[in-house]
Amino acid sequence: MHRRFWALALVGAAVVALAASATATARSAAQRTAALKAAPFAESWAKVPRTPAGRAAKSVLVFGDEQDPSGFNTLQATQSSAWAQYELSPVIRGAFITDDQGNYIPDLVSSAVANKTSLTYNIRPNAFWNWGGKKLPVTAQDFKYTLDQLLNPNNQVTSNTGYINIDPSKTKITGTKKITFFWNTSCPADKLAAGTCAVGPFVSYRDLFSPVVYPSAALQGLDFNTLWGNCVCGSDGKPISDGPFILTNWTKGSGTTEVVNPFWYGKKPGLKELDWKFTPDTNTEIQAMRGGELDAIYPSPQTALSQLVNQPGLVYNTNRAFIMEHIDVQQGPDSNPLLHQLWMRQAIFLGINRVALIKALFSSYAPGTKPLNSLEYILGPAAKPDFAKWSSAPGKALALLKAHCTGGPSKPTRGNTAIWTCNGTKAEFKYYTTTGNARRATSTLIWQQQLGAIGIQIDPVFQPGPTVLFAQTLPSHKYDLAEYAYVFGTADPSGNDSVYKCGSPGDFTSYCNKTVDKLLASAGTDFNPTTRQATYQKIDQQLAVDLPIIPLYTYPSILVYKKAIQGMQHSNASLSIGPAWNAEDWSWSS
Amino acid sequence: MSCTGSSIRAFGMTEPTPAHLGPSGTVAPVEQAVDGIIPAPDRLEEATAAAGLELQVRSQWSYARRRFLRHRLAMVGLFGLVVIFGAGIFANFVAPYSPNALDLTNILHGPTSIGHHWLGTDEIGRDYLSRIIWGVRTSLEVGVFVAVVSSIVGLAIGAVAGYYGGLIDNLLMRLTDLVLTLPALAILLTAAALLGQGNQWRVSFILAGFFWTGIARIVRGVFLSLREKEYVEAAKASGAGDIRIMFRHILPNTLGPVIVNGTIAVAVAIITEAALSFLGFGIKPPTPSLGSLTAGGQTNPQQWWLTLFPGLTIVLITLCVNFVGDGLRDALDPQQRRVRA
Amino acid sequence: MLTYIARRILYSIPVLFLSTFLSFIFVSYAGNPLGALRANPRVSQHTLQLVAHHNHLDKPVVIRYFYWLQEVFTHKLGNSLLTFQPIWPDVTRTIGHTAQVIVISESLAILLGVAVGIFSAIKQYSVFDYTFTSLSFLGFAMPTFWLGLLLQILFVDIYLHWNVRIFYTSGLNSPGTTATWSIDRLQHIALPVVTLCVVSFALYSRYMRASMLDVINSDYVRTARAKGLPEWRVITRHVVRNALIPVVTVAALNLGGLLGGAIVTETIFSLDGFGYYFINSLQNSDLYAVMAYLVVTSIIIIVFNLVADVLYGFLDPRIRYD
Repeated sequence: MHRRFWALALVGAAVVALAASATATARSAAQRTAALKAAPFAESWAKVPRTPAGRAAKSVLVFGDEQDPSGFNTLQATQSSAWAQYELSPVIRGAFITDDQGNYIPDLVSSAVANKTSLTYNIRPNAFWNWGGKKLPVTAQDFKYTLDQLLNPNNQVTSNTGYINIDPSKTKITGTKKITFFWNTSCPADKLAAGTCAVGPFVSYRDLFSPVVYPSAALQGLDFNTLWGNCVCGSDGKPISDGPFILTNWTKGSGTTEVVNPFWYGKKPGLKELDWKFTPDTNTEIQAMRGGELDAIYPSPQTALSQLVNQPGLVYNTNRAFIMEHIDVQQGPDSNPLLHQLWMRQAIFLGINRVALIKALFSSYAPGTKPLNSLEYILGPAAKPDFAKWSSAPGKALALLKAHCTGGPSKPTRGNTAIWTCNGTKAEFKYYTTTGNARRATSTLIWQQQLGAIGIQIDPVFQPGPTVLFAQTLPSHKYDLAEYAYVFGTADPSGNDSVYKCGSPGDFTSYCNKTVDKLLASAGTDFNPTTRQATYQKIDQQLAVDLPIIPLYTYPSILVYKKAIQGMQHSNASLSIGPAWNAEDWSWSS
Repeated sequence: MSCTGSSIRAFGMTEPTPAHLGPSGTVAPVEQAVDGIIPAPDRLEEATAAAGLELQVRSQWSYARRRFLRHRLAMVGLFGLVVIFGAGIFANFVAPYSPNALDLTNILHGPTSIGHHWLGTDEIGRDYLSRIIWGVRTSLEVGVFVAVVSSIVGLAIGAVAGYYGGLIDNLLMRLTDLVLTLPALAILLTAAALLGQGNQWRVSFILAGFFWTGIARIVRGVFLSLREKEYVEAAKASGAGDIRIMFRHILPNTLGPVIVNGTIAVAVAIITEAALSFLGFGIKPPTPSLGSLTAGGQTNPQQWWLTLFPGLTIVLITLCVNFVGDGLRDALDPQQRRVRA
Repeated sequence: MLTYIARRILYSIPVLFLSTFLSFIFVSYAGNPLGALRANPRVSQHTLQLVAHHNHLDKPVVIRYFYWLQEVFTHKLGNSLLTFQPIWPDVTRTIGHTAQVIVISESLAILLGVAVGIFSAIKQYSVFDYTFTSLSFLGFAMPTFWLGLLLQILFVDIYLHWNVRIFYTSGLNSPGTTATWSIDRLQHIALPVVTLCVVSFALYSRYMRASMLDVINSDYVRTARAKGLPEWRVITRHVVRNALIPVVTVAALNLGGLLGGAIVTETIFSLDGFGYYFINSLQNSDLYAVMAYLVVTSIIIIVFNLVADVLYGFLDPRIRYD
């Protein structure tokens, strides 16, 4: 018995020791094999100075990466993660680049001309590929190759909107630096139905061939679906780039190293090296920014960031992300008929206080967040605050309701239970939103209280988003009010057309205004950016009169970086370019 | 003479009622030998009368009740539970504010006597004490539901497995094994994430679906050992159906462990649901749950009261339930040799 | 004994297959494969179909189970449906980290629990005993997530007020270091280890105490005392060893609870461990990663249950398995 016990104790101790060493050897064994496979990042990381001052002296910047890319072919459906695109943006460029105000700036092209029949690109004469040290020009062939890849039915392309308008059989290449595409004049019926072909011009042409144009010569023989799975390189494995930086190595789970690309056409970057360090957890990122282990982060907005807001030595920058939180007001036959009345919609808008909500939700970590007062343009000089006239004024709301209804409170009263009855219908609306979302749970409560104070009752209904609310409730038009977010894929307002067009599947609110439809149609064929912008601004003004949708706020986008870094200009996440859109302008100030 | 057990200490099995005995009508002998001071039952009346004492016949349940009431910790626990659960049940009247009454001018206030916010306010100004009271109510509903349903299910499965034995027993026990080899929290999280939809009753069902295994095993054990007993044979011989035998004769003997297990299950269910809600997969807002209230504390680490009070409530509930469970176990345990005071 | 082990393993295999089958069916029906892709409004139907076909998602569930089994054996648990990257490297990396935390906390819990149990039993009804009994009650009643959160808040406050970093409150390492057994790593995992340790410690000390009391009052110990052996020798040579038997098996059986506790602590402290991997996969509806977690942990639990039974038989000569 004693012997058994001691034997067991020895075995136990051995197991513990083994487990302990196993975690160490598993680590080092993994490190060894990882070292054999992708030593570069670990090696280059070892040379990176550990203090900001050291890094400034060597012109190295370390950016925190929240999400490990699964590959760098961001146009492929299974590799299109946001951070992959952020890291790719200084490496592979496109025809245009969108700046922090949503303006399109020519990048690989010196100019692009589009009209009702064709689209012509004049590629920059000094745009070059750096392929493992070899200098190759960016040619029209690269654009053709890109188009072919995106239209290939066997390729798992994330989205080929706009490309399907181009007729691949009719392309004119003049020399090496000019290419003309032609829009489809007709489509075979089956392709039209399958959504793989579209007729007519694509007005938002500046979104095409941005942000990626593929190097045709370097990628010969490679499969689109498995391309760039562990590097950004050509068929010989050597790294390739046409941007200010070239991606020299990427180690999964550790990070990415990008060094200056001498063949880039633009001005010489202020940094010699840009490292992306994988730091998946926001709390660690926050500590690292305080402790100086990271130089910049682009964190997903959350309350913990409040620790960094007033941190000395850091710049905390909040901007609008292209994600719009709004309230749909249903005007179809299945909703409360009171919502079809303009004065009711106005009363609801006037009755809610968006500033108070934003303060409650965002003030601790996104202090600059403001209500959204436009629908077509979100930011930049084109965005006019057309909806600002509906900012919170409960007194005005009450006056509107008094004029049409009976039975409500005489002044805005907290905890009021008297609900208006108008034309025999009670002012009680079902309010749909997604479950499990703390912000929306809060906003629902706040609206209940604010609208209740002026005699409007809302009954919240929480539904799972992807499976019920978005998949069934919204398309069925069977709701009164619904709060959710639109994610804009482009700065161009034409991305939202389907929300306001009469009878379109994206028009959940059953809104229909023939004037707006006419304006949308005219903007759909207008290639003059000035007149087009004016048309969309007119549409925005009309929407601010008709109120099919109540815009609430845009999600904040937060960029935090060391004060000593110059040139950082905040961009917007959902445009998929990310914070490094102008990495060539970054530098350490001395 | 009354046929309920007249032993002071060693009550074990339920004696059958006279209708099911043989014609002699004698009381079945008690199972365990007692101290020897107490004479054999059929001489008991004589002996007590001779000593000038009155024979007080108590049922085993009254002995259990007495032992329970003498258990100090259990009484403390019971008192605590009455207070806490009482507040939960009468939340409408007890809570000073509605749990959703927000006040954007008063956010993130510490515990204060101003405005009677005894436990402070949360990030949109809701009174924390009220939210915790309503959270207690939710936890109570979940805990009791899970305990009752899992006890019934476990009882049924254990009874069937233990009574019929053989293939049915084998199958049911393999099923129980299956449930036991799965990583509990992981499966609960998966089920709650995919099926729960944040709804309180769905989550309760999911929890109950896991909790029945413990009681099933215990009940099965009791049924297995008791189905060979003579009185069961006798009952069968006199034509009693299976269900009647299971319910009338064997089941009452399992009630002790079932009650104890059910009581503990309430506490475990409350803690598990809190863990699920804390991780974001259990009961979702706006229904207040102690777990999601604690989770709110994680995003505001400098407002310590947001984390401290809901967790403290869970600890108090669990402690009280454990004390009561301890007391019940001691009271209902036939092996116990002394009354814990 | 060997036949017993062999038989147990043989029984476990169909149980494992059945449980993975049921989990797979359940997870596939209730979950939303390719959920992230579907939620992206810019991904076309055509692409969705291509990706679905590539991952056999257009076939009936039962067939997919067998495809998944094939992936498990040939490609080590297959590819995630979210990142389309292999799952196995993530599993090995994260299990290593979880193992480190669990091994350290279990060792602490067993050492402390056994020691406290022994002394509580020897000095029954003393102040020591009552204190630790009350602490055990408290330890049982304490939800793991609350304790972890309190510790995290405490040390965040200490850092914010006095700018001194005693223990880290999130992450496995400071950015830039990856060492597994450095001071930095120990500083990072100290709080999770303490959190996990507390409930186990309460359990083991109670079991040890009860088991010691059982043994102390048994006949052979009385005999040993009667023989004239000094008390300390009675305790160390006869009582403790026998009393340890149930505690050892309880420790082995506690593993399921520990894995659950690991899920919670890793989430609170953002440790890159197996539990954190599971929670993230669940949040992202990454079904194959969830299945991978369930399979691996089921195997671990089955193995440890078997170990517990065998240990019990090994240590207690009165138990015979046939």
